[in-house]
Amino acid sequence: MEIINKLIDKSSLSALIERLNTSGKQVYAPVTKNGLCDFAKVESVQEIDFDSIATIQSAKSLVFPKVEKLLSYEKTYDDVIVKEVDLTKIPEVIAFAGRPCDAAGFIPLNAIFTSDSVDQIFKTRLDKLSIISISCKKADDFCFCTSVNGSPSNTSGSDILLTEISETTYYAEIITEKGKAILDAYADLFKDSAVVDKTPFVAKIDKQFSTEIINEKLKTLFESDIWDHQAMRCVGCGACAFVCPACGCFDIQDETKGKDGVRHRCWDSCGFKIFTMHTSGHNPREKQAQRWRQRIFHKFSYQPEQQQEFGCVGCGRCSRACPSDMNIAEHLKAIAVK
Amino acid sequence: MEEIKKIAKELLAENKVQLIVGFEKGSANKVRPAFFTKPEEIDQLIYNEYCIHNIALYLKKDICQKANNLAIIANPNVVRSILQLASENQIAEEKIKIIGISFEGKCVGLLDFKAAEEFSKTQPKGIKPEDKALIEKIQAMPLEERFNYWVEAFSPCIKCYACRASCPMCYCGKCNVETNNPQWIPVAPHKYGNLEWHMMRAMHLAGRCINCGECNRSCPVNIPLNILSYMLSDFILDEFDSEAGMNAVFTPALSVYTSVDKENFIK
Repeated sequence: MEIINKLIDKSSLSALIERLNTSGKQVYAPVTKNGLCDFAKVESVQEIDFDSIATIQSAKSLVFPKVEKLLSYEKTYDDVIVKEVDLTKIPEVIAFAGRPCDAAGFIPLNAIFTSDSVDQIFKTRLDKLSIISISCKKADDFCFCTSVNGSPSNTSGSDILLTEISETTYYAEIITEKGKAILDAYADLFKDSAVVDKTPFVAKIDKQFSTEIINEKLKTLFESDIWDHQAMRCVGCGACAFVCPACGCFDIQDETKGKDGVRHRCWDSCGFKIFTMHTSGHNPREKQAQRWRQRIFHKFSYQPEQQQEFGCVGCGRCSRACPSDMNIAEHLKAIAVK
Repeated sequence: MEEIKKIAKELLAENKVQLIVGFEKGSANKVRPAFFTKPEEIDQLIYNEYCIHNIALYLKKDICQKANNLAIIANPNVVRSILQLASENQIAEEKIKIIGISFEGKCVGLLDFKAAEEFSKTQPKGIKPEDKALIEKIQAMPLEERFNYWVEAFSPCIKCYACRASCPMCYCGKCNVETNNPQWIPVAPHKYGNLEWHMMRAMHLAGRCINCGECNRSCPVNIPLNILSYMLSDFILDEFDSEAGMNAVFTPALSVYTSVDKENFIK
């Protein structure tokens, strides 16, 4: 679809949020509580933090929650009755005021969950999600979207992208059919516009490397000592993977009580020692360096080769969350010049 | 800082240690743990008021386990962790040189375990005033409300286990949460999975935690885990007159039976 150019007054956002809510959609937006900014369900525009550079966690939990029921089961005398999740109960959700990197994160995530067998629960959630993002006016030292094919005003993944062009007005790019459905439903809130050059209104983020260079370098670096060197201070937690918008690894956990049980899907991380532990006790990734290498290879080599998508959107969340200051952009830069 | 660098450089130059664990400049205004093996690398070593991380954590990681001997830039939390690890037979005195630094940032030179014990006792204990206020608030709650407070506080947990990974006392090769035959602790980060995980971890650290607060600092969703361990330490100090991180020879209160126990019920 060709992008439709519109304007929306800041003062109209309040009506937009209210009307989306009254239409039965759930609106999630960045909310700061106890000093931490994360996506939360909002009913009014006043609750939203428009000022934060990025939420602590990504928006991925809207389609891939930290824990979700995949099915439930009941054992009978000679059988097991499996009850699937009722997909019709999955709500319509709006991800509002996230960043272009949040929106871009859904692309590699979708590739993980739908490129071979299609995960119906994930797909339904994503189908029912509309994404209204806001271009970044500012960035911090951890942002590197421009090095991984993104930008502070990148439209990929968003259904509507808003860019603040004055104290009172957002430039609204209606990018997809889902975005157009929102425009059509609330047409009175939007005004016509010509194409606007967004550059003067968004943050400037220097490009530090390219995904092509990383991908090319990795071809010869599997046995390099760079992984030992970089992973030395890694403590082996899962914070980076869990806050990452593009990390899709999960664990399956059955919880049985008596004759009934629930099968859960929960986030998992290749940074954990137990992630690759075999029943025999053998671990093919016995060192943290091998786990760190896997993280980089998966995002910059395996995913682009298998799914034609890089698994990193440059949001910098992993680096901000890391307890030992593993800065992914810095490490990638070192790989690019290796 | 120059004194710290001088000591570190000499230790490496004179081959007294193979490795020094300290800090270097990190991203933006952060500092990060760093490992030094050559005297010339010491130029990168820094120490400032941001160097509050408990790098004693690395003593049980591969890099330190492989070194025959090492030195560590040790603020009082690191010193206390070393003493506690020593009391649990996790580190030998002959392997480690402690470059002690007070909470005010004053280098006190190399400490053997005896000196480390003295140093540990002279350094302030306790937690930040705002944390103290929260503890008082929690303690004033009736039991049910207190229970619900913690259920609520644990609910944002995503089970990234950064608390465990950043804790020098969480050195078990296989954590109880990873035991799955039977599955003692639910892995899923739902309400009860989170509650059971944090309760289990708190109980395993009771009487062993030295209250560095690293669990809270490393938590991406800022769960006040430091308060939970502090409340337990405080309780154990009151009830058993036992305090972790003060002595290299020490038996944690919950691991010992003694006939001079303050409590009468067990006698």
